[in-house]
This record gives sequence, C-alpha cells and structure tokens, in this order.
Amino acid sequence: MGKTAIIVDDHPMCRKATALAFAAAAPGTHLVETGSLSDARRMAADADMVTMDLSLPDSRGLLSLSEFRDQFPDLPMLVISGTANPAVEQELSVLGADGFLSKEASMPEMVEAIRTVLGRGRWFSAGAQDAIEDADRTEVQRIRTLTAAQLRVLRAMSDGSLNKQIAYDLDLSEITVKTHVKAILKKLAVPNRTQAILMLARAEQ
Amino acid sequence: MKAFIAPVPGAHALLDQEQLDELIDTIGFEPFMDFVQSFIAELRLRPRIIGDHFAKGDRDATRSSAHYFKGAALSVGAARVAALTGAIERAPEDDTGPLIAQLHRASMQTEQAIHELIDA
Repeated sequence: MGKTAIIVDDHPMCRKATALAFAAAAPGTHLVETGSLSDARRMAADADMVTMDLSLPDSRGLLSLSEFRDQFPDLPMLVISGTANPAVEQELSVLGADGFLSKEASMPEMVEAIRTVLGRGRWFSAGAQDAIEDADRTEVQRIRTLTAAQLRVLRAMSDGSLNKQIAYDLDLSEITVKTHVKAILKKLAVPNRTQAILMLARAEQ
Repeated sequence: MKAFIAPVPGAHALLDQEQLDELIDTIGFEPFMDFVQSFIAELRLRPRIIGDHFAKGDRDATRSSAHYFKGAALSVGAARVAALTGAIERAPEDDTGPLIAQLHRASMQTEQAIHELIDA
C-alpha cells in the first residue's frame, strides 16, 4: 500500500508547490491537502508524513505545532515556512520537527528535503543545526509547563488586564491571581510580567 | 528591536531566474505553466487586497495578507514581490503606504516578465 502525506498550508499555490515536489520525490504518494491545522489533526493518524506551514488561520504558531507534535510524536514532520531564521529552526527542532524548509528554497532542495524526512531523516540548515546541538529548553517548552489556569492568567495578562480585572474575569480571588503570576514568572524564568507576555507572543507568532 | 530598513526599489530582480529554471527542470513545463497561471491571478488580486486592508487601518490584516502573498511569491521565485511583501510585514505604519505602491508596480512588472518568459 502506498504512502500518504498531508500538506498543510493556507495558500493553494504553496500546497501546489509542495505537491509537485512530492510527485518528484516520492511518486505515487497519496497527497491530502488542507489549509487548516484542525483538518490535519483529524487525518494525521493515517498519514506517513506531514508538511506544515507555521502561519495558519487556526494555528497559534509554534505553540500549536508543539501540541500537534505531542499528539502525533512519530509522524515525520517537515515545516515549510516563509519565516526563516536559525532561531526558529532551532526552536522547531527542539519541539520535535524533523526538518525545516524556507518557502524560497529551490524545487530540487524541496524534493530532497521531502525525500529525507519521508525516509525518517532530518533536514535543517547548517547554521541552525549547530545551534540545535547546543539548545537548552525552549520558550515554548517553558510555556507548556504552565497549568491550564496559569495559561488563562497569562493570556489575560497579554490582553492588558491588571490582577484585579483578571480576578474578576476568571472568577478568582486577587490573591490567587497573584500566586498564579508568581508561578508563571518562575516557570518561564522571566523577571517581570512584560517579559512573560512577550514570550507568549513569540510562541504564538 | 531591530530598525526597519526598507528595500531599495529595484534592488531585487523581478524573477529569480535560477530558481525558475530549477522549478521547470524538476516539474516540467506544463505543470509549471499551470502553477504560474495561479500566481498571475495572485499578482492581479493580492496587492489590491493588501491596499484595502491598509486603507481601512487594519494593520494585522495588512501584515497577514502580505505574509500570505509572500509565500506564493517565494515558491515561484518572484524575488521583488517577495522582498516587498516581507518589508510590508515588518514596516512601521508610515512606511507601509509607499511599500504597497511599490508592490502594485512590482506585481504588474512581474506579470509582464512572466509573459515574456513564457513567450520566449
């Protein structure tokens, strides 16, 4: 039975480019295209590989990708994005992606990246690979150590709410909110709430 | 925060010829033609959508549409359009209007260059 790959990108042209690369890299692969992460989640259990854009309408960037990876830990995953820099690649590697490709990559490079990841290899740029080897716990991993309640408080903080307003909105006491904020700062290893909010924003880019 | 540096008009080629050659070599001319027709439709549509979002003062939608267009431009080797959409994503508000005007021009020129490439 042939292999199945899911191509996740909200732009039809980018999906088409990836499909053309698959046709060259692994002819006969059954391709399923979608523009949404929720569709990909629904179909991933039966797939042999997924290619994933980082900016999807129903995605919160690296955080969503990390959750997807937790749900499907063994599925070969190649991230194809218009946002390219070694820091993003490093973060993706730590989160468990098997490869990263910029959308400006040439078609032969895309073909080779797909072939490699489908064959359970890894595909990162040389510069990022060096950093990956030295990587410590990433910001996304730190955010994912937060409890659901702490994450709700952090989201409320990022909306600009002060503790009193957060307490009212989440039906908590102000003391509980302060306790959550202290725990959030400690878990994220940041000195103040502004840094915590910025970390969440970066993770959800 | 890094300072925003706008791309110099005309500094990027309209089309990345090497990327296009590799694309045609890998997928063949007919699939390339289908692919590039989709991009021509984008060139005609997307700059106007980005401009409309900007005119309404919707900064997030402007950036998001520019990013969306950039992905398509990168995949087909439309270097100048990719550079300008990337700049619109990062630009402060005061710089965005002139960049969108450049994007309109670059989109028309890119379509012309694609037609010349196809006819050659």
